[in-house]
Amino acid sequence: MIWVHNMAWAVYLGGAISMELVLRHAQQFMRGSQVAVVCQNSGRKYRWLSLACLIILLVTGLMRVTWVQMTQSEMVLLFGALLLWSLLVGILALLALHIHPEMHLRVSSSMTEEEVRTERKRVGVAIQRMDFWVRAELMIAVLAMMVGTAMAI
Amino acid sequence: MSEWLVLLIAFVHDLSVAVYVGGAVAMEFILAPAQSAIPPAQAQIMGEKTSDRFLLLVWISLILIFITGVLRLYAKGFIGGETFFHPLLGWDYSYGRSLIMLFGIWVILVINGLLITFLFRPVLQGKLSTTTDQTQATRNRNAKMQAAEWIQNLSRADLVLAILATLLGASLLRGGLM
Repeated sequence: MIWVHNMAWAVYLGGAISMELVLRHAQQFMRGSQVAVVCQNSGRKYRWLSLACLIILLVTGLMRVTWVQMTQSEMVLLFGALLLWSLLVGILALLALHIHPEMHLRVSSSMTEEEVRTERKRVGVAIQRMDFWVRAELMIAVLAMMVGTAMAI
Repeated sequence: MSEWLVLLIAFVHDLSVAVYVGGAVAMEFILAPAQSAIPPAQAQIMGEKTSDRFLLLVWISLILIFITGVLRLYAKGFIGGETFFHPLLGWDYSYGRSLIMLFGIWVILVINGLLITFLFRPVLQGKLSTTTDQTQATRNRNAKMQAAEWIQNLSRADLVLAILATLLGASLLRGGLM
């Protein structure tokens, strides 16, 4: 169970770090239209993987703490970890339900040049918003891992 | 060693493992499929840039995992004492066996990393000059395809080994795996 918990953490946090440090870096060298395609494609898989990891983390984490008698400081850490977990789920829901759908470029041949420009601008803003929330998610995940490490040692 | 330092070392160790394992999972199951959704020329740029950056992260993680791993053993009093290596670290004990296997996996990951960085990646990045004839171009293309296949196989082997390493690492909290 400890292994499953650790693996879920590693996949979740390592995935978030890869999305930020690896994918974002590569996107600087790619065309804007392709960035949106890659963001949508990878974002869809990433959020399912993240959701699975967060659920596993909650289940295995709670199973671990029910077996041990906790001190007051450990209870504070547990409360902090649960709070951070809730924030991570909230960000994931925001990304999945609001930000990722906004990144879909809706351009048709009947649109004027001005409308196409506005549409592209809208997608650009959505990508910027996604960048912000992915970074926020990463920071919270790192903080949560610190809390987890403190609980484990 | 102060409690805060022990916490920091443990945190850096866990974070490095997460970057290695999670990064490998993301590269294999998220970024590689996303790469196939865009035109080949853009996919090649994406592949090169993601691989370069991921390799950098891999090396930083591998070095940090080793350093913080040794420091954690030192903090627990398993190394640096009167006998330098605590008897528990020997093959006779489950803890020692698990730790030796962990070190073995780390060595294999380093060797694979060296092969990818210094042997196969340069082949993949090699560019053709204007004087290259047809035979050389074909040979070059075949070498690149072989190198790409080796990198893919080694990366998958690394992922399996890294997952095994997390299992062994987690087992150390309970005195070892076997």
